[in-house]
This record gives sequence, structure tokens and C-alpha cells, in this order.
Amino acid sequence: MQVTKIVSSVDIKKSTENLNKCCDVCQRAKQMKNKFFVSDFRASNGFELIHCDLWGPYRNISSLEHLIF
Amino acid sequence: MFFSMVECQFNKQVKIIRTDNKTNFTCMKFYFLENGIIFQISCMGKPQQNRCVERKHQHILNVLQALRFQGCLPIDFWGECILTAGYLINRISSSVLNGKTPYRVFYGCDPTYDHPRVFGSLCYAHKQGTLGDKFDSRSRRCIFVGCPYGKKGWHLYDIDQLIFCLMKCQVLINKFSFCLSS
Repeated sequence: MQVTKIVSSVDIKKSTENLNKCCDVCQRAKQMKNKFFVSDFRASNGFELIHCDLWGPYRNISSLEHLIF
Repeated sequence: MFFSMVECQFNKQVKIIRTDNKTNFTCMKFYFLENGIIFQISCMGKPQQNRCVERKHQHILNVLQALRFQGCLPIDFWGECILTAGYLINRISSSVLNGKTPYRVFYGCDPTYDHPRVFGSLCYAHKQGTLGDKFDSRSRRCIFVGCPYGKKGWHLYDIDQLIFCLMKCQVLINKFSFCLSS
């Protein structure tokens, strides 16, 4: 927007229309990840919401012959 | 099994399961459907959506490393380190829970701290079955590697015979760190 203000020869109306459009090259070359918002949901009781994930496998077998926890 | 335990012990129902996009838990999808449990999975390549459990893994691994280096144990003991880390985390007060321990939140009473010992410390377990040999050693040299769940004993590692054992009582524990490599 600042560039179009400085350069008077450019047709401002046409340029702003172009700026509002989704640019294919920009999306392919400069796309960034969206910000992650912290969820404000909190379970009211214990065991209402269970978070599960497995860590591993690890290269050394444990004494109980497990690789993941 | 876990859901039955939650219902039996705490008289509560699990409502939502949240996990990542791997196939580890998708085999239980039909069980969740039958029991009316909502199964939430994160998007592909977005572990941030599974934030709570990923952060808890970091917490467990931090405690694990501290235990392992303090106890001077080799990496093969990582399973015992994790179990002990979980045991300790549940019994240490948390700022998220306003200074309460997770144990108190679950059970409504404070945990007892006379059961755990120094992880990786040298201890002497009473030898059973000496077959009447008066000149035989009366104890076994062991390392403390954890508190088992549901048993009044300690989980030990015999450093002479290189086996794991579970001893009930008559265990004398020295409160100093013992280096296994020595």
C-alpha cells in the first residue's frame, strides 16, 4: 500500500485489487504456518479427557523387553 | 482395561480420548464407538494439537535423565527410570494444581513418603534360601531401581548375579549413590 501511495503513476484502484487477491507465487514461496492458539477447554472432572501418545521406539530394549512407553 | 479401572477405582467415565495421528490407537476405534467415547486425533504433522501429552513426555524425560545421571546407571535401565519418574511426579506437588500433588487430586489424601528410597543407591537384601550354609553370605548386594505398584516391597537389581528381583522386607538401604560401573 505504501508503494502505491508513493508512486503516483500507478493506478491505485487497480493495485489494491491485486493486493487483495491471493497471490499464487506468495503462497507457494512464502507461506508461513498459522499461529497455534492455546485451547481454553479444561475438563471439569478427572478422567473426562485423556491425552494419549506413545514415545519411542527406543534403540535399547528395556529390562522388561519394551521399546516404547 | 484402563477404562474399567477408571470406572471401578474412581467411579468416573472417560468421555474423550485425544491422541496424535499415528495408528497406535486407531485399532481401538470401534471400542470407542461402541462405548460412546469421542475419539479426537490431531491433524497430520501437527503435534502441537496434542500439546498436553507432548509436554508431559518432556517432563518425564527430564526427570528420567536426572534419575539416571544421579544413580550413575547405564542406559539399559531406562524402563525402571521411567517408572520411577512417573512414581515421583505423581507424588511431587505441582504449581498447575495450586501446590497439590497429582496423587491428592486423584485419591483425596496425601501420599506417604516412607516407601521410596534414593534411586540407584546400594542396598543389601536379605538372602532367602541359604540352604543352611553358615559360611554363605546372608545378604545380596543390590541397587534400588523402583517401587512396584501394589506390592509392599522394592524393586532391586542384584549386581552380583545381574538379575532383577523383588524383595519384600529386611532391606537396608544406604543413602548414597552407587556407581554400577565400579
